[in-house]
Amino acid sequence: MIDNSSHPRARLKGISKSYGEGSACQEVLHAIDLDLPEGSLTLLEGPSGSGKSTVLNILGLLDRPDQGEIEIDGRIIGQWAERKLANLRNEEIGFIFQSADLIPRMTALENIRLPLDIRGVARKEANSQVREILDKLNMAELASQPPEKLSGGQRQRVAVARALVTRPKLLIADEPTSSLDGDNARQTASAIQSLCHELGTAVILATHDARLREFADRILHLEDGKLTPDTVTDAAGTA
Amino acid sequence: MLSFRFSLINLLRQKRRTLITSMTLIVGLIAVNLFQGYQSDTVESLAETAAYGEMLGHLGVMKEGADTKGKIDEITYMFDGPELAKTLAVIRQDPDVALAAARMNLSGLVSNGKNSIIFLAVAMDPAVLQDFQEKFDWRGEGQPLVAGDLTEGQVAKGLAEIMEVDTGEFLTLFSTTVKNQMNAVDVQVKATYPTGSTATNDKFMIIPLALGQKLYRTEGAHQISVVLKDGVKLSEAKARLEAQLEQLDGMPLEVKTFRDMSAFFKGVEDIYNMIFGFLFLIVLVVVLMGVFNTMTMAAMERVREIGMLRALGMTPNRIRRLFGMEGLVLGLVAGILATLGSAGIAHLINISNITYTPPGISGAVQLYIAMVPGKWIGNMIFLALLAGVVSIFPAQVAIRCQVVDALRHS
Repeated sequence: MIDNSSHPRARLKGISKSYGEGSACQEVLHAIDLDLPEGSLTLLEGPSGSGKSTVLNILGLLDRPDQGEIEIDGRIIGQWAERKLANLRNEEIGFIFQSADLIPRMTALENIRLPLDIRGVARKEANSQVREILDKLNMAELASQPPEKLSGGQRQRVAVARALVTRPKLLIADEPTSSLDGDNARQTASAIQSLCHELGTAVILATHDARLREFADRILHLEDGKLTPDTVTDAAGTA
Repeated sequence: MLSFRFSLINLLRQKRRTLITSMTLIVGLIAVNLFQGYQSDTVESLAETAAYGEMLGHLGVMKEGADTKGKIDEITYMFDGPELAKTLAVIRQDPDVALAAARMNLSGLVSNGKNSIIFLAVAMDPAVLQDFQEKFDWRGEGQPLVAGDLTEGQVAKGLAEIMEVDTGEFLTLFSTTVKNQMNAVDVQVKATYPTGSTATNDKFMIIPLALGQKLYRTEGAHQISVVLKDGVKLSEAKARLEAQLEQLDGMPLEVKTFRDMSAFFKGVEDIYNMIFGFLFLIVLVVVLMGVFNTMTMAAMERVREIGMLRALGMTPNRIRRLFGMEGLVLGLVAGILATLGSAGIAHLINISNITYTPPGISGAVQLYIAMVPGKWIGNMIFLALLAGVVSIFPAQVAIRCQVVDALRHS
């Protein structure tokens, strides 16, 4: 359950976003407010085109809103320069994309180590952190395998490990189980859930996959660019 | 390290493309290296010809204006006997000077008793002359000049043929003295030799300095040829010699390198430099277009991957560095192979003993490619750095794209 008294890891205030210009302009998000508390797993549901990915992109500092305020761990992100945003993404935000997006020919270990390499962590220290996360996800035996030799589920778990290896304060996952079968989907969601609780990471997970509802601390529904109060449900789906 | 790892992975990702681009780099660089080796050998040979074959030495010391106004006022611009002795003494004090010798440049008519023709001659002390000819690949037939004998000379093969003389036979030289009086001396042909140039082969002679002085009725000389112990330090030695010669008050002198004195050498060197520059430019454009094209394709294919890396926190500058490193590694690997290939091909050409006759040269010469590792390594590093720099620009394709758009790219 969510501890609402805790400091939100991320917060959106009055976020609006439109695409296109003139008569083709389409508002995707309209004055969205959203708090993501520490250690919570939030499921973001909604039909295709409802703006789920836009919410995630704005939260992940990959896209800028037209209006509104983004707050990450108490810091308001205004018109920060790309370099500063990149550093913040590297240090505090983890991403799991719909497809695992692993670098071919690099081993699983090297793929997972990537955010640490970008940060400039020493090789020995980085490898130790990667081994730790691989152990937690029960996938130590995959360390030396390149993505080409992994199954879809294994690849997605490597992507989960890559997102969590930096112990991010915020984890953003966009349809992480869409290409996985039931078992793999549940394993991936379970891994995300247990690590987010352990690390105190705020997780937001956009999905159409109803199998993931059981892992969520709360479920939000996005439709027509709005998060309406009555769509906020608990894990059982009750208002 | 991350950039290096990425560059290897990405270069191996499209092996065929990498191979084709590498081949372009390798072939281009080999062409440049081989031409540079050929140019080096040719220029070095010409330098040797100028310094020793033309007996100019590495440096020439003459009175200021000797090679311009001195052509019509020889007596004013020649060294007289005492001036020559004083100047030679100063030059010979320089520890880097291996040899300094007086030289006369003569011209007039040569006759075999039946016909006469224009001749050009260099007059030099026979002992010194032998030093010059030993250092140079002198291909004369006959005897060297002997010190003290005032009647002997070496005659260019073409001139000997025209005059129908063999070694041991006599010719008569006619010229005007420094006081513009007619004079004549007899000279016995001691040797005939090819000058190497069709322009001089039918009129050139080498005679003892004393015979030249006798013909011109002077104790002086036109210039002093200076051979250095280390011919590479030319400009350094020139500057030092100029400073030392300033002590000769009232006698303004100038010091010239064989490059300045030998118009043929300078002309050929300039032409080769121009051809090399042109060839290098063409190869450079072809190679850089190849690298640019390859890296642009790589960037287009990896827009999504780059978006992912940026999402993970890689800054745009770091992305540029990734591409730069990829170009650098490609250039360096191709450069190393090209340098080794150049050495192999040069060796094959050299042992094949291919000969050709360049224009203006009286005999066939061997096509020889000098191994110039310093220059070849320089070319390799230059090309690799340039490939690295050129590779940064295609990265802009992926960097200009918003991260979110890059991640949507398929």
